[in-house]
Amino acid sequence: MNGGKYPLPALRRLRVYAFDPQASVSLSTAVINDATVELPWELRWETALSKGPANEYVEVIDVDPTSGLYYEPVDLNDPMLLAGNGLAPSEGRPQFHQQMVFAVAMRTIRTFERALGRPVLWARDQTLTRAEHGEVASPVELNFTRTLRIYPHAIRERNAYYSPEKRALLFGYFRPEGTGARATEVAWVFTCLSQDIVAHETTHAILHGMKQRSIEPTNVDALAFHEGFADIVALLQHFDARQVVAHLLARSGGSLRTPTLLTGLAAQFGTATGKKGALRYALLDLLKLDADAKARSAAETKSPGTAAAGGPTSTDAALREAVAFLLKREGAKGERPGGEKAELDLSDVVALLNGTTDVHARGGFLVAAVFEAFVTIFETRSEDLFRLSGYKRGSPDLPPGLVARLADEASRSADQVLRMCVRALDYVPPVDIHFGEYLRGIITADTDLVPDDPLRYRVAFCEAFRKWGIRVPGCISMVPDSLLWDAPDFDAITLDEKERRFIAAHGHTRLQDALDRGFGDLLGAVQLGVSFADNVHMSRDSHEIRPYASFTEAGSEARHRDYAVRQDDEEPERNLRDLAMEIVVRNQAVIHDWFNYPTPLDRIWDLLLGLRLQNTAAADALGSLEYRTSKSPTDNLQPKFEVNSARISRRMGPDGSELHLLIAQVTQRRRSYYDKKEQAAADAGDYKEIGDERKDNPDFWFRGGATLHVDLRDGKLLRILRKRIDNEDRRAAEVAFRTGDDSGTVAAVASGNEPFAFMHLADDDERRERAWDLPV
Amino acid sequence: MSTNPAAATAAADAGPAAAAGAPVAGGAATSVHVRMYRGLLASATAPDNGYTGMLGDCFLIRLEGDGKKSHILIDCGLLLGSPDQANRAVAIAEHIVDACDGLLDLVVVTHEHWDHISGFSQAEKVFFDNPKLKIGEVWMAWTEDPDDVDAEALRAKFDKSGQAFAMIADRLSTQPPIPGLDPKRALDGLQGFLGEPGRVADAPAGAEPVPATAADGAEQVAGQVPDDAPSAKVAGPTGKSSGALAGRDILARLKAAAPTKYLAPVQADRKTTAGNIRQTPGEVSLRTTVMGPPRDWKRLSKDKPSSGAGKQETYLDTPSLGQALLGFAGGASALATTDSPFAPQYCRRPLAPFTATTGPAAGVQPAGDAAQGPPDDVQSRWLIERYFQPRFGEHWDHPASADPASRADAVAKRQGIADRRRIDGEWLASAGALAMKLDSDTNNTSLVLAFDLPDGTVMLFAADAQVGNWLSWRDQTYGEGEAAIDATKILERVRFYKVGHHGSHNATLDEQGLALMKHADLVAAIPTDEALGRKQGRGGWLMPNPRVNTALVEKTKGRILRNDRRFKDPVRRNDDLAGVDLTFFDSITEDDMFLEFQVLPQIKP
Repeated sequence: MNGGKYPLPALRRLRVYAFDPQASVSLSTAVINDATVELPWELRWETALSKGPANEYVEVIDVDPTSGLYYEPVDLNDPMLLAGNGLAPSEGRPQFHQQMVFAVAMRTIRTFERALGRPVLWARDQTLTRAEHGEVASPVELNFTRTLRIYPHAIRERNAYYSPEKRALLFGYFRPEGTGARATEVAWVFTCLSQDIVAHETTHAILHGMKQRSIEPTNVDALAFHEGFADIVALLQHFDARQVVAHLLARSGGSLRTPTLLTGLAAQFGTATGKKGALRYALLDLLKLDADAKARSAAETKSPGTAAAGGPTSTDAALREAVAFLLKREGAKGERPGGEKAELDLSDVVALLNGTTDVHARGGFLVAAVFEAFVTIFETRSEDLFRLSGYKRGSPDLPPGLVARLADEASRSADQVLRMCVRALDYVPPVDIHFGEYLRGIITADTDLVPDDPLRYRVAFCEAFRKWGIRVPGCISMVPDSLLWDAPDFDAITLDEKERRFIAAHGHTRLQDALDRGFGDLLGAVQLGVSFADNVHMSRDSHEIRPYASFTEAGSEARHRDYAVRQDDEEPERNLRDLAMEIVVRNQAVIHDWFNYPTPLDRIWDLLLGLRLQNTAAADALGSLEYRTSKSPTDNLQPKFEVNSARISRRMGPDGSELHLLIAQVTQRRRSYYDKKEQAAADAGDYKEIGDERKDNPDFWFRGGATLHVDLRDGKLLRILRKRIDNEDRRAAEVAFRTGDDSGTVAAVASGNEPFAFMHLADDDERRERAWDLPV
Repeated sequence: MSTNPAAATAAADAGPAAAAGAPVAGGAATSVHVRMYRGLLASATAPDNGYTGMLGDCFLIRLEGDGKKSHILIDCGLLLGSPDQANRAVAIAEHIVDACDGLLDLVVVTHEHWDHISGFSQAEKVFFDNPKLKIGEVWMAWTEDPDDVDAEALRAKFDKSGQAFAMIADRLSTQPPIPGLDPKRALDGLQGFLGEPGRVADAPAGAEPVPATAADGAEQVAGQVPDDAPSAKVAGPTGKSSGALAGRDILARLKAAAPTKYLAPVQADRKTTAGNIRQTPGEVSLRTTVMGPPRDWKRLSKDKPSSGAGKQETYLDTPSLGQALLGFAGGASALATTDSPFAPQYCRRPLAPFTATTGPAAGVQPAGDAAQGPPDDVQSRWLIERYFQPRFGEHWDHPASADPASRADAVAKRQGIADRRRIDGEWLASAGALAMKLDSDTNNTSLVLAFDLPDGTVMLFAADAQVGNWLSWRDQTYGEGEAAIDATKILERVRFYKVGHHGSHNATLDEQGLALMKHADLVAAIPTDEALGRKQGRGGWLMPNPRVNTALVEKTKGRILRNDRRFKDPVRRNDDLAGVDLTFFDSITEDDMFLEFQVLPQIKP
């Protein structure tokens, strides 16, 4: 594009609304609402930015089928736009909409890449499979969704969503309703002009790309997690814009515990849909549970002027009030007679959380917990500033110098918290996530990277989650140390005679050594880094992997030959994400083959992973598993399983230490029926009663899965986070959750020893049936 | 009340009932049988047509006393898409005519849903203009009252939406398909709302064409009832004959067939409850309490038990969407110029209306079709390349792809992906969600009746009442003065419960419903075909819902009547029936056509 004459600029700046168009209406917020997003200029190995805008990651396509129209795509490379940081904010110009939605989505993507230490990839498309295509294309071509689609004016509804099926963000627009003064100020509300909504939806897409199997509603937390997490990202990104933060902090006296533009989400959307303020608030989110005026007025009295101290007490008071109010309301319906309590009891919050099933409302608890942690961290970091300056937090006249420093601290804290939250995504099981498990993920991920925790960030997280009623089943206490995911406990495995002989025959005394060595074979075949020198092309036909092959010399050589990296000089300049994708696909295949190959230690691996990767003895075979149609090397019918993701993550800790992990997700699924007898028959492999049609279409597919962490510095298996495929308690809970429909029950959080205590083999007897508790 | 409810209510009864203008009450019933029809024809056992029950309500209450008889029919319908539906409806209707000796003293129509009224259309010739059958009186909910202002407003709302939904359903079920839109997903909600045969493109294999005579009937009815214009439009908005009576027409036909009473627990002024106690007409009569539907709009529109949270999150913007949908239904793209948020200079019209075709032909075939090809300008090319055409990666010309067949296959596959990612019909899909909501609202207009039996117990027929309807029962008391009682008192005496909405999750309340039904001999009746239910919708319906079922089993000690189950089968393998008291089975009469339970005289253990 530049012909090589001038160096590439470092940044591409694009003008956007800092919040949404509504903030421009009022003079007090208009000054800060005109903001600029700074994106790194496209790198040489990325697809260049073109009209749309479209680039390596996203493409904005502005068709509006409801109106039967489309809008001309903006060309951000036009000199007129380059000179002015893009179009100026304008509600009436669809090209600005395209620019803003692009800028915000890209910023969210970059945030993730920084935290994760690897490129963002979208959910792969399952439609194209090798079996259907034979030789047509390389693995990458088969299912790589290169660009996420963004439709800024997709529907005429009060809605915006990420469509997993279309791999697209669909934004709606609508005429605001109601008779309030606010509602009549604008003729149309565009969801694509709200930073929060765009960031939220983009996060959904990224999360789906990372955890392809996590989007199924397997428990009450599963989808609420997606919603809550997306809100967290949107909220914490508010603190990117230093100027905005400073302006708003000055007005709130340095407190983040008051409802402001910073702590609210989607203000215009909220107003236009008949609320008094933001759609959702970070900390006062409970108030959202009820549109009742009383609850809302409770939020408003918390304005900085009236709150005596802007510190933690004001939120606690608001929370207490909200909970008391809601419990009273519940009580009126007969659920909790006599409701009102003077003191907020923790069990009340827990009860409230347990009674909340709506995904957004429930996600609100997660948002509140994370935001609480963030605010606590911010307050800790800024405490000395107030002490030194002699000002009180919450006082309306903070000097500009102090405000600037506070804004610095807020931005830094937000960035750190956001990174902690994003990194934790690698530290949760691939399916069926619960909030408590996410907390364990946050704590473990942070401990991995920052062994020392001088500012007590992790304590802040534990405390905040506890305060917001989120429980961690199976942990003795809510302190960081007990929340760490456990390492595998190999001593707990009892070897049978055959296994013992196998291990001894190869010169090992300990199981772990044998496993590590076998694992070493796998690591040798995995491509560990993205490098253009090693241009990998894998041919599936010519290879066959044999785990424990290194136990024989010939096998070891064969492996290296089969996976030999080929130099391919006819390839043009490569695209980094393409290459990353190719390596992921290849590594997935390698890992899959490795697990798939029968070895004498299969039983051990099945125990470790909580899956059934090999066809076990007929006695305990799970007939309800999904089996492959083709035969394995040993001519058995093999259970089907997927390696959903195999990513290499490189992260730098604050002390300069590097964390280099292989993160692989293995999942498999099993037919599940609501009827117990049918389930028993299916488990036994008897489908006579069930019939072919319902064999192919069971009541639901029950998924199990494991996330493996391998430290690439020494090739050691660090931990396995798993959801066992044969856990009947978990399956019963999912049945209860699914059949309960939206009737307001909480699928019981699995009992104490569920499911990640690494070596938990004892199967509890069937638990009591859950009580039937339709609400209302 | 607690010592002898029967005596107390019976004594207090005559006054209010007479005041409400009920006909002179018949004699007391000494024998009460409730018959649940299931209409299993001989073909039910045919391998590809197997069905064991009936999703749909059709209840015949047989009353005897003092040598006299009366008959009450409550609903007659089969779920749209039920196998053999028309033949079964006719068979059931003929069976009913025989069973009641040609006189139905009362026909109750609970609400305007196909699975409750289809029989009156499918077996029109049997029910109406049949010299062998006389209908004494018809009861409907206040929502069907032509003179009720609230009901009129409600109908107007439904009619307007109904028209738009009918148009959309029509478009969705015709070719060519709209790219990127799964018609099943969109039709899912719409079909339930429309519920007319002949309109549904993908009716299950067992569904039959509607007899030609029915269409004639439709015209007849339309002629007879001139003020029924709106629904006539619903029946055939595209000029196509829908082939049968639409819901509104069926109700009109019933209204014309016999004197009709419109019942409400609270009168139009919402203050007086006079009239919520009635006597059924006929020589043998039952005192009847009208418990629903409510007049309160909030109650009517509460379908789900969630606690107020998240309602905003569905974001469904009725007016704005409705506007667009009506625009679409009007067949105009005029919408764009009048209603686009953007100034005309920004708006470009695509080559063809998005929903009208599969998009520009050139977008489908990269080679281009000259006749339909787009103007060759940069903008169009950009749109076609980005939006309509499949993408081919850089390895596309890989030598291995030389095989033409495999190449063509790959092209088709990629086109499939490109189509799937389009959003042309996305906004139409939201009509389904809107329709489903309205559909649930209709369930809430269910007429809910509690029949007092001479032994002091109650038979509760909850139709398809959902949460709001249930909750509204306690908004008023029943009866007048000293004798007035609340809903709890009534529920406590329920001995026979017609389970709401085929046992679905939100049509039987726990704390304010089932938990209050304390009678030791409680029996529940669920009209369902569980296997058929599982095939409905996208995820299948659970009818009954397992948790509701579990609770019912507990409450009734297993005495659950389901019309998809055989009770006289010597091998009672089913769990639910294993421990059931044997007198329950002695109270049952069953054959292929129906399942009957003897409520009175009660057969005691």
